[in-house]
Amino acid sequence: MNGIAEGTVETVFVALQAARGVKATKAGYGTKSAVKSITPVLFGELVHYVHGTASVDESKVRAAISRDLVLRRQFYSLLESSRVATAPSQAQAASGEPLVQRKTRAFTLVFKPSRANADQIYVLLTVHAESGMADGHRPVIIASLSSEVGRLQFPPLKDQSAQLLLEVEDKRLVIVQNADAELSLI
Amino acid sequence: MSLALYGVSAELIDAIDGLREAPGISGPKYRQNDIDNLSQMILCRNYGKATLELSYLLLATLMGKSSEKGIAQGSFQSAFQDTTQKVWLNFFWLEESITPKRFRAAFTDIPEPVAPYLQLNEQGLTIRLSNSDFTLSPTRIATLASLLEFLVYVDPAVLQQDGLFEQGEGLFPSKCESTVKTLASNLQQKLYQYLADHLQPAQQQRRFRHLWTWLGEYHKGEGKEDRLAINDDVIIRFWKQATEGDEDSLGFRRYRTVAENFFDLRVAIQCVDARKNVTHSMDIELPPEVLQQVLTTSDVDGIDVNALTRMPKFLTKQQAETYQPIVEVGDTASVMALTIMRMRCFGDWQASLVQALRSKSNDHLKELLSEEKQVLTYSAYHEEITQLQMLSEHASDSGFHVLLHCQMSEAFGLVLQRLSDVDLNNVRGVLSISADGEPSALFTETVILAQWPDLLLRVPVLNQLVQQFQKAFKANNRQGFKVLTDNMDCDAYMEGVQLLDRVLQRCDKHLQGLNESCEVEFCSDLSIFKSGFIALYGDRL
Repeated sequence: MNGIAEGTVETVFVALQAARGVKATKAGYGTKSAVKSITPVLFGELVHYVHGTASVDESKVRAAISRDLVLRRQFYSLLESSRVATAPSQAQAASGEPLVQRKTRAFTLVFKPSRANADQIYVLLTVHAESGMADGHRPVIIASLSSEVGRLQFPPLKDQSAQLLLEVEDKRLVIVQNADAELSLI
Repeated sequence: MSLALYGVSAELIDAIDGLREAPGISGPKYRQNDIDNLSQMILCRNYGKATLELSYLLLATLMGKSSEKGIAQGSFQSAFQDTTQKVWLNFFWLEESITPKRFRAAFTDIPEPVAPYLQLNEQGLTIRLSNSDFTLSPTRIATLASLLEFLVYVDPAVLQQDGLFEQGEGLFPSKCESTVKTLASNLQQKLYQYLADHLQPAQQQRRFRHLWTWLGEYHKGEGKEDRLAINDDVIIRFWKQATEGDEDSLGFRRYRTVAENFFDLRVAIQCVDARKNVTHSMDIELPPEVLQQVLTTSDVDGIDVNALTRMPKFLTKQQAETYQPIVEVGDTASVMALTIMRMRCFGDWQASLVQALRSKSNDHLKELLSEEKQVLTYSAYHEEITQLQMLSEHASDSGFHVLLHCQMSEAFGLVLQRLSDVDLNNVRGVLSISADGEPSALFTETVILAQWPDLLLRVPVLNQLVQQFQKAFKANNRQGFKVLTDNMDCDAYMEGVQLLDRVLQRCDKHLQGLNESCEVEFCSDLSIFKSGFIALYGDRL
């Protein structure tokens, strides 16, 4: 027909259709009735979540880690190779009360209620020589508890320490103070 | 759903979208172009060369981090016995050495013993191995990095290549080439397997064959010479026939889908025709690399109108949505302007009918079928587009006001282009006089800039135009047009007015292509579409 190679036209047609599929979600037009699905959490987001090197959607990352086994494995592999120290789960017969301190050879984490406001708690991180961390570094503490994770991103270290002020009910605080949670320092 | 509709799985589409949004250490990690490039590479299965390049890049990063001890033993051994995952994590994510500048910086301190094998030069980074040289261009690194990130998504173990690169004992230069080739082959295998599940064109191939056969028979029946002509008439006749059929396995009951398929078919025929003219052959193979080139060329016509909804905000999201179907189809907007208008007026109607069907509200469906007045008429469509153009011109005027404030020299030239020939001659007259009466004086942009206040005094029409810009700016309350400051991003405004100009021109051509379609034509189309919809959905009442 018209001396044109049908097979070749078909190849181009199929590629154009696929390109249309990819663009359809990019432009957003014509998908009024379609629900836009949430983009998956990619490796890069896990990296930045662990290292604190870029801003990520924390709740999206945490939800994906607890829901997706493959991603969770990837997260733990990354955590293990990136961290410089850990505070293992203290599975002691505790009273179930939140801890006031976690101490290891590399770092110490202290939880101190604010005197000015009973609903707030100071979280003080002090790093020791064994951590190998220098002033100016922005440390991250990751708390992991079965399939749940939480993260505390501290400001730059000054005189080997840094602090955060959090609400008592802050989910991140709850998991970090849990004796069963394993802590990692990055 | 998207697998059936477009041959691409929703998961793959989401992964590509995820890469577009990937966060980086200083804002979004990738530019739109990088991901457009990657997505075309994937869709055309054109990853042979890129996986080889990536493998060389991965090798180069390990070589660059070789320890002194390793080199002394004659092998490349990563400093401090780092795993490949650690080295690559650092390079591609923590330091993000993927821009040309950062890439070059990452390789400025190549350990001396490695120097014979790894050199940074003007073209980029050259890896010198026993049998060949391979040079990595700094401008390619971001696309390769996005390919790596996609591969990690497909298989997280991709970064763990200690065995292959013998991170324990170190990799000897003589073995590098075979290692790189093995890695490239492994990566290609992973992509191949992934795409077997996520790129399934069976439905699209069936559609193509159906359209191709129908087209040939239709034109033959009409006694037409050109068996492949695609126009407004062809599209509506095809759709009408589809509404009369009993089943719809190919999705041809939606007018919009039919139109989109014919648009793609027309572009495909044009691309192959063009290729035929280049190769002078009837039998043309399209290897993946050529297919991607063809796709890129056909994409050049598309305009990213969404860019105008970002800062500075020339258009609202809704305005961009109205322009989208007109500007994304290249010359189809003028050649098949009627179909574009029909897609809007009747395509929207059909969408609301389908919605009512899905929500099983029969009363609503009946109402929609009989309420013709909620359908956008052709005159109303015309009016809407013309009104939109007028508002866009005001937005453009606001942009010019900012550019004149920034004293951006290119802008002055653009403003003068808006004058009539008579007024432009007056301007030339004034400029000649100012340039010491030399009639052959060159009117460079800087001369215009210098004489601008004088021009405003002596050429009233120009002055009025400038006042118009100011008025438009004052009336504009959108982001980027609220206040004038000293350090405005003039480039963004310049890009904006130029892009908006292209949009307006495209729109003009579209409206001209409509041949002043009037109420009579609308009434006739309305009865065609209505009877089509009743045939499709009437029995649900």
